[in-house]
Amino acid sequence: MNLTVVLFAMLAAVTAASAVGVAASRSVVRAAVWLLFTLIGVAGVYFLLGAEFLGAAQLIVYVGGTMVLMVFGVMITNQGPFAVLRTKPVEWAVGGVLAGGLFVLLATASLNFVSSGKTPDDPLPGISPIGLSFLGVEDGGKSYLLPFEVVSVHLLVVLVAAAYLARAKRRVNQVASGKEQGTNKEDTRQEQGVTP
Amino acid sequence: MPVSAEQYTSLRAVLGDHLMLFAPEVIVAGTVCVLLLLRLFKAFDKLHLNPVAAGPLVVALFLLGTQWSAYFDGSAGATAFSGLIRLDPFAAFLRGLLLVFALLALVLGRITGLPDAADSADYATLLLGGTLGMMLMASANHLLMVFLGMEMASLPCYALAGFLKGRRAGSEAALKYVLYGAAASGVALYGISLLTIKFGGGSFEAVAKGYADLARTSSLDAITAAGTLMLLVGFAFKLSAVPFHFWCPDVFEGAAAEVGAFLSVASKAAAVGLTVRFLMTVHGACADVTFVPKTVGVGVMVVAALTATLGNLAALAQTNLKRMLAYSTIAHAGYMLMAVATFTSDGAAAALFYLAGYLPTNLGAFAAVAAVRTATGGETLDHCRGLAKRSPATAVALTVFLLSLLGLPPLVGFAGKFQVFESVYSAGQSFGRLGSTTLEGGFYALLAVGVVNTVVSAGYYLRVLKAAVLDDSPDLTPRPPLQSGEGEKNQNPLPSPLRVGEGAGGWGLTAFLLLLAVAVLVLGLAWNPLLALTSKAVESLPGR
Amino acid sequence: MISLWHFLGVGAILFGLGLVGFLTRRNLITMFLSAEMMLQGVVINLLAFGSHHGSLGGQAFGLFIVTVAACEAGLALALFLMLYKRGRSLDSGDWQTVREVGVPPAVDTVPLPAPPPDDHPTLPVPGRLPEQAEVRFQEVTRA
Repeated sequence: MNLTVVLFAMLAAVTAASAVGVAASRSVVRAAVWLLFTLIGVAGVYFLLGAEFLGAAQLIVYVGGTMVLMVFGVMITNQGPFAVLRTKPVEWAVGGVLAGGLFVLLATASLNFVSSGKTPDDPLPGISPIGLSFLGVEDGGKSYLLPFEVVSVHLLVVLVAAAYLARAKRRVNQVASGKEQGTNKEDTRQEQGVTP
Repeated sequence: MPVSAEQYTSLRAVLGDHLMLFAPEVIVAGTVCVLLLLRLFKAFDKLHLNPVAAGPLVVALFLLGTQWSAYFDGSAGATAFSGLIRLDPFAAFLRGLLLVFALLALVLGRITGLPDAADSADYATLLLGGTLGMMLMASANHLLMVFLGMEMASLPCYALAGFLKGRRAGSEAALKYVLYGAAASGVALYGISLLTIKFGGGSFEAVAKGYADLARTSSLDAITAAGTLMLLVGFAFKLSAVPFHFWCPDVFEGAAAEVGAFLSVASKAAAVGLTVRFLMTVHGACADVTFVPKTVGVGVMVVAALTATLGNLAALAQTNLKRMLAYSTIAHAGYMLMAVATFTSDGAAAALFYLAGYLPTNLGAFAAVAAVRTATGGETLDHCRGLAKRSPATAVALTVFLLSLLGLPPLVGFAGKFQVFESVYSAGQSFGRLGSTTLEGGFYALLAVGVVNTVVSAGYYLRVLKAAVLDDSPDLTPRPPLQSGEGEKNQNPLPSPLRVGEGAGGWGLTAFLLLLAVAVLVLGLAWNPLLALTSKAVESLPGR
Repeated sequence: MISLWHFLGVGAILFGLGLVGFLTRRNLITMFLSAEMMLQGVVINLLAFGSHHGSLGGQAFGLFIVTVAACEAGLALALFLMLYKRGRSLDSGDWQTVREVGVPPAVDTVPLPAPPPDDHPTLPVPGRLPEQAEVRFQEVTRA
């Protein structure tokens, strides 16, 4: 029983418990906050594995950026009657059975894995080799120049896509568009329950 | 850790070689950046940017053409960028196909006015971004590139599905696509991680080597089986193969017809290419010829048969043209998977041929639906009635496309189906010679399923044809809703980017349709050049 | 001692719970959060592999996954906000406009309990009516 084992047990417990929280919590806000804890726990696991850079990136990009964005989205949309999730007992049962079955399947599949190669205690390469390999230098391993550059184009395209979806269409005929939106709102089913 | 001088020189030498072969993709990526920058200038505000984006694509195609001979005489075409992708004739064929399609889709978007001038930069950016991802899928040689390519191909498609922001159905299409797509990519990624762990690396060579070791002992362990299955689920989702087809009809119905064409042709071409390359690489490394067909291959056969059957049966009941074409797309994915299931280079060549023929045919069919929409404002079978009287040229083109999809000679659809069925038959024979009677029987059954399906598909293709050619044009003024809620989607007014009316589209659209119809006819009459090209393209694939 | 299997187990837990959450929840954002959790499971798997072999591959792969997942989240959030503006709801069951001909929309057989009434104070609407404000805005921008 050394420190690593204790740390791993704690991190794994925190991660798994908050993952259950995400899947089971009744409120969207709580689910988002539980995910925040999951992500922090996962970042801890990364540190434990020796991947400091990825752990830091996870904390900064994911926990600090993406998740805050998500919580922001939840806050904006978290109005009306659907803030509390509706889940029936049947769905719980099905979900539980599915979760158990899937976990047993995956765990046994992983258990079958015959370990090979070096010992788990080998240190991971640090930041410097990663940076060099992203810039195309092959140092024994692969160079990740192509995915690195391609992902930047991908980020740009997705940025354009998100901006397109989020911005309002400049309409030629303001009055007509107002009317159209009005009718669309009326014929949607969910409007019935919103205002008492 | 500084970069040593040797590392620097080797980097320069390698990049110089690889970047030349990779030039088409670089041009596509550059065009995306240029389109973004162009919008900074007020002068380009009123300009439709689709033609501007089409220019570099022509250059990219030209560059690919100049490298063509280098690919086929073997002087170029090994792995590139440290083995992450493989720029071989097989990839070159598919990349060319994708570039041609992107070019045609830009032209079609310009003609039908799906993006107006204000939105054209976004439309072109999304289209090119998706095409870039698909080109990477077609040339991927590493599971990392498989993942990146699939994501890059999917994300712009999600936005394209919801391109008509004013319409509820379009938003719903995007919503369903993005949710299912996120889950499917997660599952595929888990499969990738399992395979990577098992085989100690993500390159296709490592996976193939691992499979070769497994073939020696003739046993598939749980982790490999689970990993391969989950990865193939991701492929099946992109291919819209049963049972992962459920997103396809809804997305196609909600999205604009032009986008539907992109999803059904380009996305499918990339997914077929990736599936073929992955399975053939795995199969080619195994010493035991029947190992992969007996394990993975049987699954692919069953999925192919189910996909073709379910797609065709469900299409029989459709009245919305886009929804019908979506099920037809599913059915055609089934035919292509039949060719993939053979695990022979004949089968791979047949799949490529089928794709090449499917490009003008299905793009034409969707363009014809777009023509019906611009003329009448709707996309159901009723809107199609009397098309021959309203616009004879469109009706002629639609006839050609539908008959080609059905597979009648002398159109390219027949040639493609013939190739596929022939490869399935010969695969059955060769497995029979190897003494594997179950596989032999399986392939003959697959052949029977394919033929019966072709007959079934006549039902719905001919129904549209009858409506277009024989029926009278109905009164197309908007009708009151049939039942409460039922008429809702017909009542939805088309949002402003889409032009509707007699003048919309005009001669440009007619010329576009006739051009594609001629291409379908010519490829169907003279299919030897294309056949030679496809059989040369698959030579670079490992396999027998 | 901690072996590779333990890390794979954590990955499997995250992936399995994510998949189940995705399949059972009906709020779009929760579904998407679950999908993100699936990806986290994958990254743990890959990192555990990388650490096991002392190689760069797992870590690089993980970085790309984090990047792409951020892209996906951004796009999905933009889409969800657009949908919310249209429908004021993020229940996936409310999006059934596009479906098979002749198939009725799937509705809950047992009506769910009504949500508690909103007891927030209602504030008066400040400013002008939106339509007038828009017309005014247009005049200003044109001038």
